[in-house]
Amino acid sequence: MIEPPRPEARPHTIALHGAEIPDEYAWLQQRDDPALIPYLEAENAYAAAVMADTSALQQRLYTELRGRIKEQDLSVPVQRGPFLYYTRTEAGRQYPLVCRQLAPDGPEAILLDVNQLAEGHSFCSLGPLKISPDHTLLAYGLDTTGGMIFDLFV
Amino acid sequence: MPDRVALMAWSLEWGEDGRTLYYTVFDHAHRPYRLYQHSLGEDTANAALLYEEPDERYFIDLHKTRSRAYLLLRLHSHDGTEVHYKPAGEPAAPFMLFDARRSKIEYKIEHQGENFLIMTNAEAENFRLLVAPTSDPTQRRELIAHRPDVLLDGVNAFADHLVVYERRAGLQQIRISAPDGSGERYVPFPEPVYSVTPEGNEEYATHTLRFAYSSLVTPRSIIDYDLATGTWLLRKQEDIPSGYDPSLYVAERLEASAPDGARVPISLVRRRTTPCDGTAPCLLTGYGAYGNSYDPGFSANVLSLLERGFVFAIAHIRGGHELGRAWYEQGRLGQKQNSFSDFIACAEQLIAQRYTSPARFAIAGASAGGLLMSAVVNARPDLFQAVLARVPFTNVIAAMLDPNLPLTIIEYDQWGNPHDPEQFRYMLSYSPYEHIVAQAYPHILATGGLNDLQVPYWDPAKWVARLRARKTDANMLLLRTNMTAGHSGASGRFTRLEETAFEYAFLLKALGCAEVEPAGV
Repeated sequence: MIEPPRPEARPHTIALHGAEIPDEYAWLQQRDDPALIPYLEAENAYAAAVMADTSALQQRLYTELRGRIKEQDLSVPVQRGPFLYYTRTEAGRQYPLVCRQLAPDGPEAILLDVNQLAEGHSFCSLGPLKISPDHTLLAYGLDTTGGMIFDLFV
Repeated sequence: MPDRVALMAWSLEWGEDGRTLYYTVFDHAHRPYRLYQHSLGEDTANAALLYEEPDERYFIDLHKTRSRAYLLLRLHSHDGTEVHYKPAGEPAAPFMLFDARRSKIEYKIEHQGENFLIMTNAEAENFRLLVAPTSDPTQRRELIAHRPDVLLDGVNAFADHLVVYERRAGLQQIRISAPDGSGERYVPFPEPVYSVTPEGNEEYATHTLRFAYSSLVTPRSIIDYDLATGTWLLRKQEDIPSGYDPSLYVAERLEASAPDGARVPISLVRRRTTPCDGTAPCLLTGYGAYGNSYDPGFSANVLSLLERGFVFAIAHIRGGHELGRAWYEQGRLGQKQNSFSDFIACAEQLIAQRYTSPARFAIAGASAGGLLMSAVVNARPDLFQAVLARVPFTNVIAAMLDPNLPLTIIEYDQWGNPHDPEQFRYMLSYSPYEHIVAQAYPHILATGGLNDLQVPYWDPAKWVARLRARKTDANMLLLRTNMTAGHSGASGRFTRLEETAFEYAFLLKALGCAEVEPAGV
């Protein structure tokens, strides 16, 4: 029997409008509390241990889910001025490529490969992406934390 | 030669000169609050501050009209909106105020030819559409009047057509007309219950409207709809390489009666062979906040459950926009608990119609849908066997008392302001973390993201910690925190599937379905 983590209850109350609301786990809100990360990691380990008897099922489900994705795929192109813009994905790669071609069937130019941008990051998500009106420049935002805060690149 | 800006918010637009960039940035609480104008090649530290929003309830965003003639700066809260506009081709031109903000008044504008179109809820709960010349935006006349049974959900202006998105009886409609509103017609949809999402549509001078169409049985399809001829062109349909036969599945719509008599729609899908005798496992999901409608669209992932005999259902509870603006208003602020009682009514309806039974019943919700999960499981732990709460909002009081969280001040108009004694008492009456009691709870899996700025990691953590201390059962109670991601979980498409596989394995184990062989395709 695996024992679950039992985080410390530290007496704390929120007093407001005459009410006394106990909040014994308020300390978990302190990101720099030294006990925080060990607690979250202990919960992750406990969850994995409780679910260990489903590891074959998890693998099977993953195979089913992945089997429903067309790994090499292409979005329906959007025409902007003389170009067709589209994204595509490649088999075995986590992130899309942003591409364009001269309409109707010019050669492909890869504008951004998010797989490359994601290198060295455990999280990577494209934010707003805008082509300049003359189609010579690309401005885009990139979030590498999951906080939806973007770095802007031109 | 890259120009770079850190901490940009969601908006980014080019000036029509191709040398000017406009972007928004966050304040310390992750609120988009400033608009900057940057000339390419110059030091971004010298970018001009064009606007700063002092009211902490208001977020700002910027976008260019489809006509590319105007930049629109929109200041919006859950209480009202204010739009400023300027010609997109004139970097030196100032932004002009369209209509000043007024409490409870929301509006959006579009540009079409010589006119602005104004979608507003002024004297129109479900919104109406006005038109005014760009030369004098105060000269307004009504193009589409208010309708009590139809919500005006959005407007797209094209050079030769006006496209209006509506909701009637819980279903989305697309209305097409000439710019002056004449020649009105509706896009016909092939199934009785479906979901439609506009796609791109960036070109102004086009006769093609692109949208994504799907239903609980029809995979996501990209449609190019000819606005002039009404031709429906399927450009692409989501391909499922391992195989999928839609004829094996059936979608249905039911209704449940809420305690106050409101009729709550339910959408569901199952394999035709899944028995309706109370033995089937069921996953019921819902959201019910911000006026976001939970439209019944296709999910390839859910097939793993349906192939194992599940019924998958969506409760269209109050707090969403499904049945109009009133449906939203009746599920927020001092009426928030309608969302929870609606969901419980839907669950009871599914049991009464023998789609499932409590021992086979799982529920799932994310974010504000996690508030829903944590609230209904406090109230009716007996109805469910398993709960999946993704990034759940459970600490309503603690979160709304933390002004440094991005969704605090702006959210006062969604959940209530705890500094107001009356609103505080109402929030405290349902805040799920405060109502965890010593009772038997279902199996529970909560997820969080350490970098989540919408629902902080500590919200699910505190919920699980207190549940563990108080609950009286021996059921599973799991907390899974992604230490390198935020509100939406992992970013890589395969890593995300690993998360889903874990969650489904939890549901199958909790419902005693871990050994069930999936039916063939």
